[in-house]
Amino acid sequence: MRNAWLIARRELAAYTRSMSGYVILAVTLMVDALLFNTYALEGVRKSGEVLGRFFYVCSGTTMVASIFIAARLLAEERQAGTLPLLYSSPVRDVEIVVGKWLSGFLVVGALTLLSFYMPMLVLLDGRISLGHVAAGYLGLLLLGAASLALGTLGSAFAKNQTLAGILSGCMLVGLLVAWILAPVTERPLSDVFTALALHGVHFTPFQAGVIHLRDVAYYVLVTWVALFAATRVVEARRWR
Amino acid sequence: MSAGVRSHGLTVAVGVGSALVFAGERLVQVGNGRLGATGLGLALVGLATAARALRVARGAGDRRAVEAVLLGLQGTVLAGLLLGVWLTGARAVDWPRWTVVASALVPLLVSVGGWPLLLGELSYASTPAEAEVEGGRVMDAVYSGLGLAFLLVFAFSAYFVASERDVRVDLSRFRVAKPGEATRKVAQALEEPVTVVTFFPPANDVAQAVHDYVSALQAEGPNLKLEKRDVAVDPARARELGVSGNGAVLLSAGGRKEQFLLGTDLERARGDLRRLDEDFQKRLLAVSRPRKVVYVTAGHGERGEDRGGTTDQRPTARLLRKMVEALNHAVKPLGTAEGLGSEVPADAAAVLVVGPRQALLPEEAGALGRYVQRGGRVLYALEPGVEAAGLLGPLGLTLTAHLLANDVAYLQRTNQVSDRAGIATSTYSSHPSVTTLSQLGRRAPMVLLEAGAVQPQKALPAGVSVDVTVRAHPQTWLDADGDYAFTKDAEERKGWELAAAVKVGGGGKDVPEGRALVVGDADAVSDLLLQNEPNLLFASDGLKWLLGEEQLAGSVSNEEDVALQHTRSKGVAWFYSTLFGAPGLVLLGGYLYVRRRGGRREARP
Repeated sequence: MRNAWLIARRELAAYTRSMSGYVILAVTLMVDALLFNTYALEGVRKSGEVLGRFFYVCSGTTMVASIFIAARLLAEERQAGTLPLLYSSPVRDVEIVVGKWLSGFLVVGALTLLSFYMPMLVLLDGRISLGHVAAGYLGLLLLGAASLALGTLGSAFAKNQTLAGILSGCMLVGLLVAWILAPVTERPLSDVFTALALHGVHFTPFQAGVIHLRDVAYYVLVTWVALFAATRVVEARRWR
Repeated sequence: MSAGVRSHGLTVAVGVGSALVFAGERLVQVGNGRLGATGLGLALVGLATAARALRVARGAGDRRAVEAVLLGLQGTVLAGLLLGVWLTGARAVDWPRWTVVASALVPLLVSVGGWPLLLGELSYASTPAEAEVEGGRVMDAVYSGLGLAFLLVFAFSAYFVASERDVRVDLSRFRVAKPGEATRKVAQALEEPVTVVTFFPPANDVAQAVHDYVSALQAEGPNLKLEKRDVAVDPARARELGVSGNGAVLLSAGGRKEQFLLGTDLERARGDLRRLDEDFQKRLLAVSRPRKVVYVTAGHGERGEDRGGTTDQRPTARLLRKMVEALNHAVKPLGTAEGLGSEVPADAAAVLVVGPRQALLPEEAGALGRYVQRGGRVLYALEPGVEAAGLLGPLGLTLTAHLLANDVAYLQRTNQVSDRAGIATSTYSSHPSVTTLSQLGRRAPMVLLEAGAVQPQKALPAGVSVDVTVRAHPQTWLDADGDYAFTKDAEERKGWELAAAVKVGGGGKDVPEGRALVVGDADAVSDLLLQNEPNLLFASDGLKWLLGEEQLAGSVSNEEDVALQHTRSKGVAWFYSTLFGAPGLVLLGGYLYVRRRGGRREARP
């Protein structure tokens, strides 16, 4: 996996050596802050509830940012015609996919953790635990990892970044609406939809400062399956 | 698209057929619709499989080998579909063990057949018709599909195991639905199985909170069972338990049932969820313990549910009654008309004497004395100045006629000197009737208004033992001259006795131990002061000790979070610092870093 790390570093450099990466981080933080002030702090709410609502809005920005970041991972290379160069390099397909995903995850992780000062502001005037904050951020990182993996899969499928974004968005929305479909369907279908729901079932406990093994397993498995599928798609050039 | 080997129509037919079978079995489920959809689906898949078999027979070389593999995969899908149809059919009822196996096999077969078939066909279809089929290339795609199928099967299985063996860590400071210490003790002490049946639709937020709460309680003992139901799916079970809709929680044990409604909407249920621990504990006690009667004396100007009249401005004692009811006891009045003049009723679990204005008749005091002697339980919350020798004498106690006052730890309510009679204390013994207060210590100051001292006699009656459970602040004095000021030579500052727990007899096997809890202030357990958490704990743990349920002592978990309220200027500061401050710093840091790197690059030769 050393090659994967090399690819991730190369990708990261693209963000850090120009202002574009910092602009993305700053804009995402501004959106987070705007939603924090207008939604999480709306009305008179208890500090725990404010923190939960903060993580709720952050989950939205994390998913959207993940899709935008992931869209360029493989599709941009394909669009620019540099993908064959990458294929011809002595790295395995799985290393390409994991390296690309890892670079995106580090960016998502950075923009997620940079919002840390907002829960700290809640801590100043309210009564929240650092454990609650840690659980919320763990949830955001896991959600970001899973969304980014889905985005990587979409990017592996698509010929350009726009299509990659649309495909990834569709997959993400599909998993989000599973939560809405679960109550209106019957068992065992409702159980399947409940299990698949990306946000409703599995993120809500993190918002409240509760960590379930079930939810951690879900996000890890979604990430794994999506990255595995992305690797198969990249491999498909051999047999298509 | 290049002219392919044109077998992809067969794979499409398998996909459409599978979708039809799924629709017939899972969506339509009954009648001709089901029969039609399932029949058509199976026919499509069957025909596609037969057509594939023909292609195998006609093919040669690599093409034949590839067709044979695809035939096997189609057959696997068909087998999965047939098993699925059998599973939902009537015959499955006769084979309960195989039903479980088949339930797991159906998605496995369809997935393991379907994914490789799809990817294999994609590869196969890209081969020009006139060109020779590259068997290795198609097999690569099939193996890719197999890998994906097995990973999906593993992922679902792993998720299932993680859900069933879920471990939960609650890191929040104020757990909305977390069992309190008292409820945990009730769960630990359950002697018979109690089933908690919840009725919620799937994937419901309120259900999640309730299930988390009950799961946490289940860890306390083996006798609490959780049964998750949905009225839409299990209408028969709902009817059997008398539940009419989702959002209900029902506790049942040994034929006793208790139910409460939370609803299914989280926003509406939020208030109820905050009181979940209290409500749940009340119902749990109701189904797990036989209901007893607690009598409250009446007819002597006692504190009641309502004020005695327009001239009676004393705080009422409604909450105390509710606390008794929450412990699953019925509350009934007890006066001369109910027989207090002769004997306390035999079904009495305890008697509460709360703030009588007039002294009880000697016969009534005698009845209470005999009641304690034969193992009865009595709470005396008395006011100084009311004759109580007849009640407290047999317990080895006296109540001072004068009030206690303090000029250090007191409640400044009216800014008058008389405020000094509103004393606060956090000095508790380790007696079971003040378990929680003694654990909290200084963090839980109890308040008493115009209290008298409950002093043990130097020579206690035979068989009586007295424990002073609450003492006043050491700077408290007995205000003998009634001026609320300390008179150096005439009055003494010390930790006066405010409450005492008395045990009577209990030495022999046939005579149970009598218990009395005496506090020198009725306001301490009135609605006014029970709003103070330490007073509430004093009353709660005291009642539990009195009723022999001291093992249940502890706090009930209620949310104690604070609301975030900002002044306008602070709100504006928050808004601008979050909106522009941090993003600005990120941009500045980025700019400096990029500029520094650029400068370094330019400096290179």
